[in-house]
Amino acid sequence: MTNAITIKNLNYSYPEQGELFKNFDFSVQEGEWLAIVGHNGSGKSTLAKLILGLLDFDQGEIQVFDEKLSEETLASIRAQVGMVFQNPDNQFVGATVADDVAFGLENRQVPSKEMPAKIEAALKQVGMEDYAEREPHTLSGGQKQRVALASILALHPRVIILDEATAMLDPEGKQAVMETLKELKARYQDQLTLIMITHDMEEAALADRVAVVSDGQLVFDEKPETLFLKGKQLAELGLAQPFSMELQSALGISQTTYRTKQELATWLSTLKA
Amino acid sequence: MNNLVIGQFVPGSGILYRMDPRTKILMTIVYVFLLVFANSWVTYLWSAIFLVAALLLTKQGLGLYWRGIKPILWLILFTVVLQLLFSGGTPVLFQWGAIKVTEPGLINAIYVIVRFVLIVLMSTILTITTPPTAIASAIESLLKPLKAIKVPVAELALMLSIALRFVPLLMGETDKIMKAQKSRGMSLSTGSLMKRAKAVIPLLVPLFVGALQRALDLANAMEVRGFESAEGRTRYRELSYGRDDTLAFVAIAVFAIGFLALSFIK
Amino acid sequence: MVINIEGLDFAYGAGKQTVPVLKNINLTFPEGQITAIIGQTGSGKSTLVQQLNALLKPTAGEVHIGDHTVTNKTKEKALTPIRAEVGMVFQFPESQLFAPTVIEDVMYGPKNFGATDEEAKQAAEKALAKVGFDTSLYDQSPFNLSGGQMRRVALAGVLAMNPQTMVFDEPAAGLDPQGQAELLDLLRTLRDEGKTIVLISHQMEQVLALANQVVVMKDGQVAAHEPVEELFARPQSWFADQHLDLPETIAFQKEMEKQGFVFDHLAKTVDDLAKQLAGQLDSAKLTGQRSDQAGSQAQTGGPHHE
Repeated sequence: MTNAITIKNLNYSYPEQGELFKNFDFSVQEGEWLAIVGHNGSGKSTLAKLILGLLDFDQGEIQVFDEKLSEETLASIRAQVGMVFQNPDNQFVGATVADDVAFGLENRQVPSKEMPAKIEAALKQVGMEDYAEREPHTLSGGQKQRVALASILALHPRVIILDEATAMLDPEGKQAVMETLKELKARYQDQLTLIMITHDMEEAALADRVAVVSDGQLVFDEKPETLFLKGKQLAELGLAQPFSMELQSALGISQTTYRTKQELATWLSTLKA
Repeated sequence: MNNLVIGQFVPGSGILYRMDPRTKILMTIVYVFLLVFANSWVTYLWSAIFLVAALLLTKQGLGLYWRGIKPILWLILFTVVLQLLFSGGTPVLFQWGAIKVTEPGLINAIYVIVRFVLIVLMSTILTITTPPTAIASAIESLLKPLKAIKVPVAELALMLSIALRFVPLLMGETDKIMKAQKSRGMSLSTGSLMKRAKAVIPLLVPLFVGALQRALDLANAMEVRGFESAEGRTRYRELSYGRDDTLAFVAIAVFAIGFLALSFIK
Repeated sequence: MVINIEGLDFAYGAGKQTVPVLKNINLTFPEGQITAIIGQTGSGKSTLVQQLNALLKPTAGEVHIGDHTVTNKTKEKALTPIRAEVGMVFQFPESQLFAPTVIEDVMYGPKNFGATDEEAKQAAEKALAKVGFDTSLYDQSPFNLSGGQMRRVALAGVLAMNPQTMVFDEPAAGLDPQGQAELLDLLRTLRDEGKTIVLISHQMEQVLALANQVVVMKDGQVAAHEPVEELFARPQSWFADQHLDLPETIAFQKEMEKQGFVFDHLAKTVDDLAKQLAGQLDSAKLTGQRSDQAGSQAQTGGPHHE
């Protein structure tokens, strides 16, 4: 297995609040769906910004596939790693949906004639093809985030990082974005590495692996199935358990296993007295 | 929430939508420039005919244009009243104390209205049929010669299009902050001038901080999508000069020649 | 203080170009209770609550706020005192911070309503203490604080005016689970002190945990207005029509009902749900099946694909 992202011995201090990462090691495999969770201020978003060279680290090494992050490789790394940010309004560059998707293509000097087909294909993947000529202020938050995803997909990235991309959305918008992500992952399989920064545990449950970060430290790093059994420890970190796990603990099942809501309901119905 | 038509793009399908934005900008400039020299009712009539033709070619309902004019009606009226009251000449049509209305004053006032309305409508046609991004890239293209004297034309055009994109957003934000501070008892309409100026601070600071935050976020989003410099990018909406544009130039040339010819007939 | 809305219509714009937003609203917000307002984005929730402190005036109908009556014709001047009585916390309220220091920002409201510097300072300190804001940071610039701290300062800025009624528009948006829990506690405390609270929320768990009664908005009209227990007893299909979710506990309960389980009341908390479930489960089976069930679960795999 190839590593999509390798972080070695990373040191980073905030300009004002002081040290965040000290000798931090971490890696993400190609094709993995990873969730990074942690309370506000845990450093999870900072990590994403460091990977994309939006912040400079003090010491250590970040490698994306076989390239070490540096001034010289920055452009090539950004060509492989796309990022969706938290605020839907503040990342919409174009005057219309199509123009926004075009923005990245224009930067990469894609010939004008090739753009319309690429834009349409990208918008189709997120189900926004009927909105191509719409202006951003006529879209809902969830729609804007899907456009942001499309504008990254148009560039054929190998890694997509979502930095709390659903935090400002209503439940409907959240669900639409998560559905889109599931479809993308199903379509691209190992060709696409997804890194999702979130503090929503129901979202994290969709990932193959969850990394829990607190004050710049990697506290847990495991499959959601085993992580979610650690209810108490998660609560101490200011994090919640998914509902199905909370219910299992409340039922007093001490030795338990991770189940989704649906699985739990089915299982419980077999135990009916 | 916002009824302003001037400066707003309204999607449509008329011939004017297919024209190169550069053509439309040049046409508007030529038209407005010539109007300044309109001096007789024939020239105004000629200009009005041209405008009506352009209006019809946008295939938009006339109600849209009426809405464009309405917000500036008071401005037009104000200018007209000034014209009416402060033009001299004879014969005097109406006099009441120091106030008198003369025939040249009345004629001038009518001309002012017509000129005003024609100019506003022509610019409204431009903005209604041309998306802001297209206007920005047209300006960039038209200003290209200035690159020779080191004017950063591409950057300026990008700035313009981003500024246009953020207008509705900042308007919404202003409304929200205004309401939040009003809820905390802000009042902008009482007190001395000094007091009122001070009262705006709780509005301006958050607006500024918010805009700055947006700018930083936007810069990140742009960088991540491979933006390095406004120069050397390709264009999704490539400006292309077509048959419609040739027609338009013929039309504006006919208009200009007719206009000049008519202005010599007195 | 009771707020009462009678026959309210509201439209943005004037003349022919009006956009109707609210239609024929009749509502009473009882004193000392938490009324939640829920509904899809764009259903008119925010527009509705802005009538409660007269940021918007009705196009038709009347709003009675304590002793004040607001109609289409009420003069702007008469509206300001209402805002001292009804505090409004907007969504992401930290965007309203402006003063050089935290304490000055929180003093802004009280001073606008005639408090002396000394009185305003006392009110501000009391409000900051209530939201659990660290005293050592009073003289900091609000712009140097973390997101969670900024939220607290903004809340304090409204609390400091000591309004009898408080309106919160999505107050927990963007907070992490711990921040959300603290906020819910604050709302409970305020209610227990006798304040009338109006809460807009997309999170049904919050609504279930806090609200006494719920107003459901749909397309600018009131689709339901009833005690929280009655509302969530409605069938799942009704909520789907409103584009709303059910709280997790209740959704699960309804799911189990389909499987033949019987519940005597709506589960407000996970513990409550567990208690009601436990009585109907075969405890011997529960212990017996536990281990092999765990094994087979791991084998069938893919537990994260619902």
